[in-house]
Amino acid sequence: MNCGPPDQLPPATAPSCFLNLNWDQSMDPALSSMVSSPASNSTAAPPDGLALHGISPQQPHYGGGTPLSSPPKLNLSMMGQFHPYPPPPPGAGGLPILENPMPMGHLDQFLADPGFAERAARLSGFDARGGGGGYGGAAVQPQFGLPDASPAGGSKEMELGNTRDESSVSGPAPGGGEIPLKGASDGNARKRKASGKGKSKDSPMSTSASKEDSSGKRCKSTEERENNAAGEENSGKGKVAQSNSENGKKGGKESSSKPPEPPKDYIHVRARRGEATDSHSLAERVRREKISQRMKLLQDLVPGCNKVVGKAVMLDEIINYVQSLQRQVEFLSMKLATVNPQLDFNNLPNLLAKDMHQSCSPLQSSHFPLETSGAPLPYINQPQQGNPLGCGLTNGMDNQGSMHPLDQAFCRQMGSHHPFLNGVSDAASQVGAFWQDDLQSVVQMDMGQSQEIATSSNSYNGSLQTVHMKMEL
Amino acid sequence: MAMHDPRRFKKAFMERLLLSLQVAAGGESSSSNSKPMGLRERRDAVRLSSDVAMASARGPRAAPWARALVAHHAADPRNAPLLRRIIGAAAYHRAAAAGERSRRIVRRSQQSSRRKRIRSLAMSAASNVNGGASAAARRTVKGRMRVLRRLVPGGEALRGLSLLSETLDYVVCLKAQVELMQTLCKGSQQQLQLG
Repeated sequence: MNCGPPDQLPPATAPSCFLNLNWDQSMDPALSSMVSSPASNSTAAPPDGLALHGISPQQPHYGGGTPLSSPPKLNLSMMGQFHPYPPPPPGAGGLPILENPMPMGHLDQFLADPGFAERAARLSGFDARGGGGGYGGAAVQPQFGLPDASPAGGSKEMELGNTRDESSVSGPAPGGGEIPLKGASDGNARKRKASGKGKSKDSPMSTSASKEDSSGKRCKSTEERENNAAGEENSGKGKVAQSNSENGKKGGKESSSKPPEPPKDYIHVRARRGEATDSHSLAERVRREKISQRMKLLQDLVPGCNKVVGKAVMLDEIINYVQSLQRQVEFLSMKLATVNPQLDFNNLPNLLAKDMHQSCSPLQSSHFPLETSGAPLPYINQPQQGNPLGCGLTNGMDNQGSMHPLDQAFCRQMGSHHPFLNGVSDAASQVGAFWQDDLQSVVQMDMGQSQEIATSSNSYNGSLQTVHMKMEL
Repeated sequence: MAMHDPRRFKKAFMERLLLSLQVAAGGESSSSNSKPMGLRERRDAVRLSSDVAMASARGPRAAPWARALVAHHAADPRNAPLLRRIIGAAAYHRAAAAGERSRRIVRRSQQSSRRKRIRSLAMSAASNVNGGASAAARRTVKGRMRVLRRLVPGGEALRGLSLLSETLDYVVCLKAQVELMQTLCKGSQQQLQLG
């Protein structure tokens, strides 16, 4: 962030340029990036050219720095090297040779991939067939539907348990979840991409994918598990009503027609049985899948959008929400112009900080019930202590300077709220420290909201964190 | 970058908002001292400052809508003096030029897309007379997307996926804007009561 420390901010009187807009590129590239920016964001990231088909969930541009942004592509490129498959273990789905070109170890890694598990869990709500799954890691199992007669069954179960744990960790707490997610995904050999609405599967496959039957029929397919037996394709999808024997036949045809070839690095989307496999169809499928991913994120962001079904209704909600926000901005600027005719916000920030503090304090009771019951809360003491609270810190400072306590509070890490408790205990004696602890508790509020996003005062942070969390999946 | 840390984004936003509001107020007192701004002008000034602050906090390079928002304001010549003060003359010129260019491009693409739409409508009408429910639904979604395109700054140039991504980004920032302005309002009211 290029905002300097408060004392380095330009003086308020006659500035020529306050806000550095960073227009340091000519507008032509800017414009072209305006037209094509989301796509270019996804394609620019990986050096290996894998992203054209969008096998990895496209990271929205503000999620660019997330730990998970690179592993999918990396893993995919590694995937290609596995292509000369060792003979598959017997008993995987009762199809000894067919369609099971990958050793079970890969499957385990696949199963252990927390990102995939989580995405699968997240998307299972969309999946018509995933009704029993819920949002935990349990959704993974029916999707895989392994016959489980394979020798690797035991370890598979263990890995599944792992997946569950990790997804549950990373689900509610994005801050803490990043690390295990990252570690696990780094350790894994591959990462699968979730498919929006369970519609398409992109399996990292080399060119053999295009040799699959291309009946041209578009069917909604679930996420692909190409190393699974053919049987669970049927169980998972239910739209392709093919018998096991038929699958076996086709699988045999496939595997026999597929010579072990050197890995190629550009095909990542594998069509399911019965889907068109020409590049246009694949690209279209990937695009649709990304769109539904965005819709899902928007759905999480827009209040009241959770319950609606159907894209049109959802778009309606989004439109209404954006309109209401824009109208609110209009109204608020009118209100500001009315309330503050001089547009003089110079001595406002102390009020602002107090306001933030007060608006957050009711929340504290819900987030720290023990603290509220036990110790006297600072904001209860505040009226008695009166003005020194605000004045002592902010009166001598100008506008910029008074942001300073906020700075400190924001920059401080919110590891635990013990300092907050300490601040409560000696709040009566020290006003200054008490103030800072207050601010810190405000910040802690923000963290606490990642679990409970209900209130309007801080819902921005909370929702952003949820979005942020989703971005990292 | 900004979206990565919502708290930092909000803080930067607030800093810039206060700064640009200060500039707006300062400009009012210094330049047009004789004739104070009317309510509507003040409102527009607040609106403009908050929008520019939001765009700059988000980073115009990171988010196309931020660029488009500033360009949209720059397109209005009445905003010129204030915008010049807030973002500087050079940036203002660039924004205005960019707005003009993008408008031209969008206009052209709209013409072509309109032509295409008419053609496809004719084709679909010819192919299946009773489009059915799915076709109707698709048409509804298309219409909604068209509305959304008008709402998101710079959305006219976007389609499907990119439009949705921009909307996502924009909604997040808009939420922050509303919240910060609410906070400012509350603070001002308290100040009013105290004073």
